[in-house]
Amino acid sequence: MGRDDSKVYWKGIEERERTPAFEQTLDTEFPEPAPIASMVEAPTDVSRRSFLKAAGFSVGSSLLISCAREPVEMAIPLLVQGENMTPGKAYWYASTCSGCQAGCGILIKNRDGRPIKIEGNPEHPTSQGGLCAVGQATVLGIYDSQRLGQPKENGAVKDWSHVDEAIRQQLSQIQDGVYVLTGTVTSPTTQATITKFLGQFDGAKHVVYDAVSYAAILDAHAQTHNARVLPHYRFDRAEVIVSLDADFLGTWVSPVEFTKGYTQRRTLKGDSPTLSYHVQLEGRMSLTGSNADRRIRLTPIEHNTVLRMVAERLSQRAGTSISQLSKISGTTQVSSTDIDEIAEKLWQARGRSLIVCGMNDVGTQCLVNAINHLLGNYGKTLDIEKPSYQWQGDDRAVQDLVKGMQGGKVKALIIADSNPAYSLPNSQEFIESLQKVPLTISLTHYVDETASVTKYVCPAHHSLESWDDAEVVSGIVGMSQPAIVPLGQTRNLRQCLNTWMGAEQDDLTIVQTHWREAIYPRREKDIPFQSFWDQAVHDGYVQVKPQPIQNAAYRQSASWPQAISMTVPTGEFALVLYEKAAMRDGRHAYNPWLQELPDPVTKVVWENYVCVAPATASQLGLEEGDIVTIAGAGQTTELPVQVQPGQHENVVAIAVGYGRNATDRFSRIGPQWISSELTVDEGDTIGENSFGFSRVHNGTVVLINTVSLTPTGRRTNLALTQTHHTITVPEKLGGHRRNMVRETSLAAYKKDPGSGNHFEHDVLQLWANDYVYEGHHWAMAIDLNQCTGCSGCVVACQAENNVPVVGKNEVYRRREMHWIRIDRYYSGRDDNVDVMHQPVMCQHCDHAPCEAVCPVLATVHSDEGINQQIYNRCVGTRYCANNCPYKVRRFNWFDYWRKDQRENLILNPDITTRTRGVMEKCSMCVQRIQAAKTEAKHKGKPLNDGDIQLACQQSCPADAIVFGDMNNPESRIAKLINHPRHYHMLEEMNFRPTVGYLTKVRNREEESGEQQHG
Amino acid sequence: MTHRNITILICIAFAIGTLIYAGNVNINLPGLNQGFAPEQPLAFSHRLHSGDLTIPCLYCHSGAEKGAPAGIPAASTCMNCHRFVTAGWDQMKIEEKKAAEEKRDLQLVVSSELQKLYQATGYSTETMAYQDKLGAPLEWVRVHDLPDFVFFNHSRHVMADVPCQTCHGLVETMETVHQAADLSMGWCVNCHRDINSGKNANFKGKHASISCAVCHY
Repeated sequence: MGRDDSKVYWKGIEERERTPAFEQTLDTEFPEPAPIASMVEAPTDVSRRSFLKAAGFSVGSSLLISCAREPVEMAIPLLVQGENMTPGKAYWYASTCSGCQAGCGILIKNRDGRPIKIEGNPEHPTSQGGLCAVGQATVLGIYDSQRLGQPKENGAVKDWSHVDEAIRQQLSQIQDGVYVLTGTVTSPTTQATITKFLGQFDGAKHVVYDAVSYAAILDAHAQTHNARVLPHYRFDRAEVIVSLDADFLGTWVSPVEFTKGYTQRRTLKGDSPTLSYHVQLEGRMSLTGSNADRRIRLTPIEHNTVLRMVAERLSQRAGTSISQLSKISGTTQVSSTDIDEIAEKLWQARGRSLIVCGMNDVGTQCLVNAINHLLGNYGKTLDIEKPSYQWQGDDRAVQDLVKGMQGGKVKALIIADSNPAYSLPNSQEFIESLQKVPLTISLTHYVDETASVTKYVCPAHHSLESWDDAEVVSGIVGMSQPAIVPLGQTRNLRQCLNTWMGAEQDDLTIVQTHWREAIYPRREKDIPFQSFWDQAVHDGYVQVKPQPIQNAAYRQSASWPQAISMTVPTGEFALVLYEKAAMRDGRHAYNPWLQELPDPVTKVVWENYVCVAPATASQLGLEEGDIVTIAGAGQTTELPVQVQPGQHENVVAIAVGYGRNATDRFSRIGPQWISSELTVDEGDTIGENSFGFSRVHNGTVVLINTVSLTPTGRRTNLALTQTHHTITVPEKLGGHRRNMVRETSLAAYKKDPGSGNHFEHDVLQLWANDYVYEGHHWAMAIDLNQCTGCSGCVVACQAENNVPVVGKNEVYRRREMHWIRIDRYYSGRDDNVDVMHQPVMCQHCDHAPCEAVCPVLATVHSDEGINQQIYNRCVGTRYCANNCPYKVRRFNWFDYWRKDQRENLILNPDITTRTRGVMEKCSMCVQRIQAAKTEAKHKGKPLNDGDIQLACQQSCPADAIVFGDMNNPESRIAKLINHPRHYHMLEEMNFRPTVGYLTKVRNREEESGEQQHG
Repeated sequence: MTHRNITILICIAFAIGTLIYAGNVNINLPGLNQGFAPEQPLAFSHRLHSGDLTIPCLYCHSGAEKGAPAGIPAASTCMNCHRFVTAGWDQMKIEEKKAAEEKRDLQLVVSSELQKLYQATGYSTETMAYQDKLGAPLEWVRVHDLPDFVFFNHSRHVMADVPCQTCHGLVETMETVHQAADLSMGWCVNCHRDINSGKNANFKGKHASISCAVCHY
């Protein structure tokens, strides 16, 4: 101790500044005093007699209660047992994720007819076993008791036969003007059904609308390459990545696939390791930006200028000129040396580089295409011959549709998997013009903003209830199969359209017929159809011949539309609307797991807010939680402020996807007790809808605008987990900081693989021969260089381990229950911060401090090195949580299970659901260890390395988590433990954790100073 | 004085009430239901099936070697035999005797207990065929019911050649099944300890873990 750290890490500005409020939270276990004093009067004169009375009564009554007979339980066997099905055993089915249009491969865990968990399918060609938080949380939606189960006509519940008859009859009177409005349809069968349905009418049209759309990329390729396609980006082949505001690790196009590819290039292999070089230029702090080697702050207004300057430098080198560049003007604050460096790096990695931009503007995207073409990246790091079909939205067509509706051209509108009344920039106009359409039908899971203004509302299947297919990338067709019998009277779009046109209604037959006609002829191996089909259902996908794209070549002379330009008046700010990794475009607003998932960067739950730079906040006199009025584009809204280090001073950012209707259903999601507060007020919504700030430019919806901020003088408490469970010594005890994360640069790593990790400590051993683990000794290593902080593991753990949702107010009281948290550390100055993400769960210390203080031996060590928490023995003294140096223990203040029994069906029956008054924490998925051991015994084989995959590890899109037996010298974990990058948190304290970390290596030249000490 | 009398009266009433209440409840630690032998919805005899007819335990409780729960057999498993066997041997004999006395053909005898099974499975004894509609499943009372925080895996024990009788007692002699062992944690752990120490000679060389998280997670 005593030496100053040369690099200081902090989780929030309050920690860096050591504000009194922060110091207080370190001092006490809970941020506020227990409300006991206010609940009971201070006992003034308790006589011995009345004390004995009370004591006697409590002893007597508890004795009586404990004499109650054990409840008798029934065992109800199946009437007819299916072949090869054993009740109580889990079965896995391959399918395709429906969390977003990216269509990752999933495996559905099915217990006794109920899907209870979704994991990544390791064999799937795009997602390769990874799955994001959203995908894993979709399973919760099945058991949502507020999901729509019956069709409605003008708000009144009707049965299907009535609705079908009415719709059929009205459709028969319409000759032209039938429109189908959907989100991107990746399913070839659904697409064929829509085409067939619309073929019955004249002038019918299918309009594709994505709330957060990539239309500009498609339209730009139509301009520059003669093909309206979304390229298939290959981050696994990119050595230099330049991204302008594209959050490709969090939300952009296909984040899981991109994270897989990106982290493959971030793996340190061999003696002379290489890393991809990633430059992120952005105004807000995105998940992707937090992982970049170089992060340059840039307002969205400067995008075109920076791109133009890069293009100019590159075309100079290539000896060509791009005539279209002359149209682009503007200035930028990015220094020309930075631009030179970016251009140089890109040019050096021609054909191995990639530049992407998140701006949904055709002019900008044409410029991006030109740069990628100059670099020879087409066919290498982006593929337009085998393009992606993940997003096909056409913003222009949507706007034309709204105009058509106004003009009375639209006679019937069928809306599915889309919520334009919520997410369009001109949603009010859409709602008004919808009144002019005689027949409006919405196919939906909930009565959402759009369904509440349509005449007919048809309940849609949950994706786990129905057959489906998805061609996500040309040649890769995913297959979905039902994992449960539909719980309501639901249907999918295919069944609806087929019913209304009087065709085949059995969904399996519809899908199979289309596959026989359209997919099977594209097969690569000649096998019978049944084998082809069975294989696809078994694997969850099939690889077929891609559909050729004709004449997709760069056109030198293509005319580009005017790129977007915007001026920000003084006193105003450039607004960036963005998707949060959990909420995306708002379609997951009814999923409490995702609402309570701390945002990977801001760590706020249950809310959206306006992110401002620290400098801007101090300039406006704002503090975190202050409510401001945001005005611009004829729109005003009030949101709390979140102060975001690393953000551009002239940029404010707001997440879309909030302010959904009927989200006040979650007002009482938390426990109800004397001091509890509602998560959201009755009649209010969670967060505010910010889609109104988006605008249409050149036919595409751009998510930027200019706004002004005005303080309202009111404030609210943001439920922010950022400094919860902070491991810091209070100021009065010296205030010494111990750094939990370690990092180095690639240059330093090449010289010395252990750079940034040399902290030798005298570790004492009390006994010469400490306990020897003879059998297995389970251990885990987390590679901080791989981890992107995406938070998929948090939801994986929640689903696997029955972790409850506690609501906003309880999170504010630091009572969130997640067993795994992702600590996000900043270092550096406010305007130029480096970010580290560190997943922290129980470290399973071999010298565990929690075990020594438990008075009832409820937490003890197993002979395989696991720190066990025995719920039925725990009496809730919470001594262990106080003594845990890593702050990973969670206390059940209440019984958190749902009152609605249907919602409890999601619970994993392989693990105990904890009751009130019990401590819990990461068990290292001991149920999975047990299951794998049993499985190995059944097969009569020894347990191999990799047979056990923990929940957090299984779905990690970055492959950051390795688990195994460190007693097996051949295991991956044993090798990692001996790696020079390996370290333990608080090594010097001699807790001997079995969870270790590997240092982060940034692709930088500068030497890392020998930082931190303990 | 009256105050005191009333207090005494209340105390006596409370004591009597407690005794009456205690008489009705089984004062036991939770989970210790040794001897529990509830009446089942169908008078199934393990003595007959397992004892006299020597049907192996795993024929019906096939889950025991595959997974955690041994499982109550599905009604369809019973129907493997009882599609044809509609009544007990003694009832058959009586009908045979009666038919011989009355000099008539044998009539179909359906035992009233098996009728419950036929109702559940939608089986018609008249046509000897299944009808389209299934009935309600039989609801058996769980005899061996461990608390929800205990995860016992049958297959691990079956694979280790632990005889079913070790925990379930001589079920083949029981007309109505009762809980033979107390199934307490001490009872489980003692057996595991004896195996590890070699005291239990039947499982030489085997290891039975006594870590908490083997059963509790």
